Amino acid sequence: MTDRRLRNTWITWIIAIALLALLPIILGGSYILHLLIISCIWIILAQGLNIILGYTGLLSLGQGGMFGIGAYVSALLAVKLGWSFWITMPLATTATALLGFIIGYPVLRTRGIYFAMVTLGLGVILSEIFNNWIGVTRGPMGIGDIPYPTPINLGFTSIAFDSKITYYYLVLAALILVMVVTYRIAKTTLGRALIAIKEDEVLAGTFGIFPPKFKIIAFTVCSAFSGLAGCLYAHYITFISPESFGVMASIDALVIVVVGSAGMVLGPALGTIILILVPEALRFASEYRMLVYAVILGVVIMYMPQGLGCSIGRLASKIVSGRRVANAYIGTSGSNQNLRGANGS
Amino acid sequence: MQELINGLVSGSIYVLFATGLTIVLGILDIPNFVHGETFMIGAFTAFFLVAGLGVHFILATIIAMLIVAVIGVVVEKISFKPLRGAPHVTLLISAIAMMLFLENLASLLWGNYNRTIDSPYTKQVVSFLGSTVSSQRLLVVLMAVLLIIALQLFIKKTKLGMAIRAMGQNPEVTQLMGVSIDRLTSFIFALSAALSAVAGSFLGSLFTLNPHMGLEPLLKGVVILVLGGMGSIVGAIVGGLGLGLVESYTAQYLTSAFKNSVAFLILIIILVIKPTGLFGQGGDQH
Repeated sequence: MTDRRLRNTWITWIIAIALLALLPIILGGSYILHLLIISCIWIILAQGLNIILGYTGLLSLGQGGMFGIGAYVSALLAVKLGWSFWITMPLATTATALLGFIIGYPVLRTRGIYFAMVTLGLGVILSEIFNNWIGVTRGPMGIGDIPYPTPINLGFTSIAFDSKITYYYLVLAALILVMVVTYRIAKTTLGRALIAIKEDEVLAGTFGIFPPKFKIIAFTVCSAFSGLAGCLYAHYITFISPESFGVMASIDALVIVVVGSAGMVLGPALGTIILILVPEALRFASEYRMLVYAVILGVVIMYMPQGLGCSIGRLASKIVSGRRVANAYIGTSGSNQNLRGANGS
Repeated sequence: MQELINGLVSGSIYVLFATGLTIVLGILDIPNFVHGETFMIGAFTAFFLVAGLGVHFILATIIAMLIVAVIGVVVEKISFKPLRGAPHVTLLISAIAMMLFLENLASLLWGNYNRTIDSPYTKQVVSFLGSTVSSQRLLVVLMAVLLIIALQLFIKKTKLGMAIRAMGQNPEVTQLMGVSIDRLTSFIFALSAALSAVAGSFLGSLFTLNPHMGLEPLLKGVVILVLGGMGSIVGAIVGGLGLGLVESYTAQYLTSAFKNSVAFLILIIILVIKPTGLFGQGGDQH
């Protein structure tokens, strides 16, 4: 990466973050804020799936269950033991990651459609545990009165998280962290190893990549993101019940990743914008919402099986390459661009 | 004894359902998750024929099979045909889109409450091996057995059945032998959808039907598929009956709350010990 491009990347990131931070001020309104918070949480959850599906090529259908583990661990610690959010959040994230690590060992022995089925099974089992372990999870009645994060005291002022606007900044900070981690994974040896495993596991092995190790890492990171999303969800909604963490949650995450383009860092963000915000815009016809959702999904997968992000990327590179045709022959920058484009798809 | 009968009854519904799922996956290599929705539509068609037009239960089931077979072909044309040769994940998502569409359309049209299909045999009771069973349950088991035997004979003995088996082995060569792949694919989908419709109609007559009834048998079908091996009808029979019995006994002696977990726990243990399924024959190339 040249200095110039490195600087450009940084500038892009800073502009994007500044825009996101200003978004509530530009758009305003408590309902818009609610949508923004929910979207950020879904992007974090979907980014976890993106790492295991988009980069490693393993379809996990247990995302909803992991989301639930994060939510329940954090909520139970906060409600039953009265612990602060700032302790329960890292604990819930670590617990979910640990669960993914432990489950990953046996589960990652399977491949392809079998892996999808095992993880689907895990999701169903976790959701039945949430439903039936009444003594701890209160079953279908759910857990209510989950406290908002405790205020941070800065000495001269304290930041409370009981308003939507501060919670948005909290969720945004978590989202930026997740995005940076994903970006780092994607652009370093780890990400390349994962993509190699996705393309051809045996061949990756001959290049000195030990697939089980990298798959475990990917699955652990995926679980950690899901747990973090679950924890943020629980402390925002302040009430959790098993139906939020069932098979449908896993399917929603999958749909977001695929519609947004699996294997692109920004894919889940794009997918979330389309699949959370567009049906939301059709709220006046709320009974048709799910139908519209299904049609969008069907059309996208039919005409853009690689996802929207990829199609937009291709369109953009077509426009750019029209201008840069001469460059491609002279310098390395044009061909380098193409290579990166190929990695992103 | 009662557990054995319960297990056999739900087992035979599972067998009918999973057989349809397994022939599409085994022969066409398509994970047809819309199967749960054709199952639901089959149940509703039979319900409306019985409740609305006063058709006899058995006749209603047969008409539902025919109607749903057509729906199955339409689903194939819309959701799977344009994506032929695409990876499993893409097919799966296309199926999920169709699944959500049909489920929500049904709940818009017909409402989210439970109904039961009326059958003249529900109230009749026969005593069987020392316990009493409603004739409806016996009818379900009997018809399932007959249908599966007929299907096996059809696939083993007829020319069309031979074409289907050939296609499962090598689609290109089958096409070279003068078989139209498009028409055969439609036919297999029709067959599979018809089987799901019978299963739906039976389930709706024994228990209840609603627009969201498709998901649970789909999950069970997935378990049976792995237990019995993808594409194996005998495997679907063994897996379906086995699952029915296991569920019935665990519900009786352990707990009924974790019914689905038991099925999936078996699946996970099997896959962890043998990562390509019990009778695994590839299937993991994608």
